[in-house]
Amino acid sequence: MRERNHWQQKAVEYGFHFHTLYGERYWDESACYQFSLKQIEEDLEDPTAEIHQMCLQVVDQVVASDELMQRFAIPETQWDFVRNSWLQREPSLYARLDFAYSGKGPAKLYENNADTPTSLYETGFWQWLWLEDQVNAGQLPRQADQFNSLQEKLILRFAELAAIQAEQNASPVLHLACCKDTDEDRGTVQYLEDCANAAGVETRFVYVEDIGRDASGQLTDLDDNVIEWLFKLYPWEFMMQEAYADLLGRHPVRFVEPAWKSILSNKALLPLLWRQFPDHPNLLPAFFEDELHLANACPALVKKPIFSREGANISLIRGDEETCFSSGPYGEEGFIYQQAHMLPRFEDNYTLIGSWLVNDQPAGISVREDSGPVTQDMSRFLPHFIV
Amino acid sequence: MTRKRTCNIDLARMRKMVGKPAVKPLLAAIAGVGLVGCSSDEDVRIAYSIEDCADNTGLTEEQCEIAYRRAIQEAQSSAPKFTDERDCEANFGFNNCARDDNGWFMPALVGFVVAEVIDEVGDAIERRHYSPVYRNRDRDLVLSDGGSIRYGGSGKYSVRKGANAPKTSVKKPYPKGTKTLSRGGFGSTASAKSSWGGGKSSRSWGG
Repeated sequence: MRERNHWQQKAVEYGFHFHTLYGERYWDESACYQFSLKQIEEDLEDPTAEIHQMCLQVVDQVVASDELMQRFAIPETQWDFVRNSWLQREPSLYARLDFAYSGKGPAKLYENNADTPTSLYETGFWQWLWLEDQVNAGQLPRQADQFNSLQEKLILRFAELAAIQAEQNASPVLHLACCKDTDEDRGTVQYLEDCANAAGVETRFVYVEDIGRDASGQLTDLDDNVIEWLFKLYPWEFMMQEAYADLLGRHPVRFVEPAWKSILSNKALLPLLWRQFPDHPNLLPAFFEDELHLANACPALVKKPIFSREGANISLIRGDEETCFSSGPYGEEGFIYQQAHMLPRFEDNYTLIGSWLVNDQPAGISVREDSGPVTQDMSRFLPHFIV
Repeated sequence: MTRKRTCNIDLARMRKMVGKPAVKPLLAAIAGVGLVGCSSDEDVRIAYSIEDCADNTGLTEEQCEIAYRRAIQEAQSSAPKFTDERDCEANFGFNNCARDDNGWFMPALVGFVVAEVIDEVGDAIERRHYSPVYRNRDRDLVLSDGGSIRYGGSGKYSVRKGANAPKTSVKKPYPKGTKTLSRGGFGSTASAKSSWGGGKSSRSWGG
């Protein structure tokens, strides 16, 4: 596939600052993936909607059980906070399911990035623009499409969330936060801010590290404004064990994603899904440490920390042998085991499909490639099209 | 065939090269509502102080004091109020906003409106209305609701007929202001984990 002329210039124009990382391509349009509409709709879109509903059933089950809350390594002091967010059905914004999908047969769920999914801008806007440009340049046929209604759905969802705020006489001002020193996260949050603004929502930005508290325990921004509605691109499992953790739930802050997402973004979700929906075609067998006797039929297992980001701390277990795939700072909270199912290989690359949800609606896909078998934060992002 | 992608994206909105104003000017938008012809205008005087009022309008100094107090009173109820000083300054210019007793930021009063036509008798002057006057960020004279005041030369001004009347405030109740006691209670896990391994893995805290 021919790259667009001067696309780097365009990236500057649109504020896409992280297309090249540490001198290596992150956005890679030297190739692209082609899907049929049938593959998209039957193999990815429908399973995404279905798995999301299955996941919600797991949340319902977990909040009702102290034993499960423990297994999910949620601090006991936060149980009420998480439970209440679910019982009040606090609205969600978005999520990304990661699948191993070869183009044939059922896509297999690796995990659910339900709390802080990134690569949103690249998916919702940048690859959309790529298709638009390639069609206009005659590189792709006029009827070429893309599974990517992300931006449209995000804007609609923000309008819905704003309506819910108004209905409940809650603050119409949305704060958005991410950590300092990460261009990627700042870009993702800026994109969400753009979408919120397009829906008519007034927004403020604050870095996670700059969030403060007042005497009554309300969260504040750098201008001493009370934060009452907060999008945070920062994991719940971190927030729940940091200095301000005891402020959570004390004041009625509306969080996006809501606290119940801490159950879905958790790898303990995987063994529970398997327990509740055994032999589901889109699931891989998965087990807690004390259920490993059930895993005898699996020739090899992948060991994943209950909390982990960007493919860190993954290892492969075959018999008594453990091979480290990736290192990282996670794992203190325990591990789960998932039947090894390698990513499909196209030429020299392992390919992972991220399938997006806005609330409960499938909203598009992103394709990530890596020369190694574990997709990590440096894996390349490739555009796709449907014919 | 159903389309699987976003129908239309407003590309102008997505461009980041051109800086956009951080705050939408609240009053500029309101002030922009239609230009009115002369016939619907009302001639007024603008008094910049009690002294100015006594010298240049048909009111006595005593009456001007009453008018001034009325204007202040009305400003408290009808001036645009902001929780954030920056928002107020975006509308009224740098250093032109003050905090009231309730913590709201509002524009500084620069004068008040005295109607030209004085045909009342008795205590009518005391019962009349004296609209507070401010300057917006373009240094134009405006009323509480952003309504414009036109200069007609020789110290004469005009406002739209009926504009010199009590108004309701343009309050911005959110975000609420407070006093921060401490900061930094979130974010420590990220900084602890990013020192691990150094570099690549700290690129994002998402996934």
